[in-house]
Amino acid sequence: MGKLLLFLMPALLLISAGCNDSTYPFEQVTEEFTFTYDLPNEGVVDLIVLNCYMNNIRTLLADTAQSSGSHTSSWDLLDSSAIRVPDGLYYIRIILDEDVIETQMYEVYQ
Amino acid sequence: MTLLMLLLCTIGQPSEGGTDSFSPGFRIGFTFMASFPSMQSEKDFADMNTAAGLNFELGSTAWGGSVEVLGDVSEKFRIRGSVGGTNFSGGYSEDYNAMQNIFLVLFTLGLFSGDGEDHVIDLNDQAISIEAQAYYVLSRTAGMSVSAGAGPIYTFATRKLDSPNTATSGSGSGLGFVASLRLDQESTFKLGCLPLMFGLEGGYRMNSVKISDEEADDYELDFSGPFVKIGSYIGL
Repeated sequence: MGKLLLFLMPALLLISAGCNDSTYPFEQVTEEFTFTYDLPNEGVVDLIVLNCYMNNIRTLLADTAQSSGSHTSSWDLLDSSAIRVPDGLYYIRIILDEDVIETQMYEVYQ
Repeated sequence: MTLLMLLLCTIGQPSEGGTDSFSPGFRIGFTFMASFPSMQSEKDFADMNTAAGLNFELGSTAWGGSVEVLGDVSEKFRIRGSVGGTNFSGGYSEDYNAMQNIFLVLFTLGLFSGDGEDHVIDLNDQAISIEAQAYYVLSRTAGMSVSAGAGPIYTFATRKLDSPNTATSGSGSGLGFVASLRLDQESTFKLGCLPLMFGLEGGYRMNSVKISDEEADDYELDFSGPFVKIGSYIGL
C-alpha cells in the first residue's frame, strides 16, 4: 500500500500542479490589488466592478476626466456597502466616454 | 425534424387491424428533448468573458428528458402531465499540457488520464419543469393522431458557475407557457402485453426564471424557445 502511494505521489503532484495553473487569462486575487489600464485618448472615465450576474457591485471611479496613456487603480474587494464580496468571478470594466474599452476578469477567493 | 418523422413512421407502423375507433386510456412514457433557448443573459455573460480575453464557449441547444403521462380523455381531447429536466451549459477550457498527461498516465499505470481539456470555468444551467397540457385532436386515423395543445409550465432552475477556486450558484422558479403540435403513432410492437406508442412533439415554450438570490438581482435564465421532443409510451 505504501509503495503504491509512493508510486502515485508524482502523479498526484502533477494533477495538483495542473489544478493550480497560474497561466489562466485572468488573475486570481485574495486581497486588495492594483490594476492598470490604458486610455487611447483623454476623456471621462468610469471604472465599475461587475459580479458574475453582471450587476454593478462597486464603482471605483465615476465621471473622472483622465488623460491618455497608462493609469492605475485598485480594488479592496469590497462592494458598495463596504462588505467583502463573496468568492467568485468579478469583472472590472473600463469605460471611456460611455464606451467600454476594456474588461478585466478576476477570480476572488479567500 | 424530417428525419425524426421518418424514424417515427418507420418504427411506428400502425397495429394490425388499426381502426379509427377511440378508446380512452392513459399511457406513461419517456421523452428526449432538444430545445433552443433564448438565454440572452447567458449570451451577454459569455460576451463579457470573451471581452475579458477568454474564449468562452456557450452551447446553443439545451438537452433534456421527461417522464410523461398522456391521457386520451375523449375522442377529441387529450391531456398530458410531465416532470422533466433540461440542461444548458457553457464554459472555458484549456488544453492539458501533453507531457503532464503522459506522466499522469505512466505514473498511474493508465488508471488516470486527462480528457485533453482542463475545464477552467464551467457554467451549468439546469431546469426542472412540471408541465400540464391539454390537446385538441385534429385528426385520428389508423393508429395515428395529430393534436395541438397548450398549457402552463412551472420551472425551478439553478445556475452554477465554477472556477478553479470558487463555486457560485443561484436558483429561482417561475411560471411559463407552452404550445405545441404532436404526432402520435401506435406501434406494431408490444412490450409484453402492453401497447406501445411513439410520439413526436414540436412547439414553443415561454419559460423564463429569475434567480432570486440577492447577489443575482433578478438575473434571468430564459429557457424560452422552440423545442422538439421524441418519446415512447406504454399503455397502462
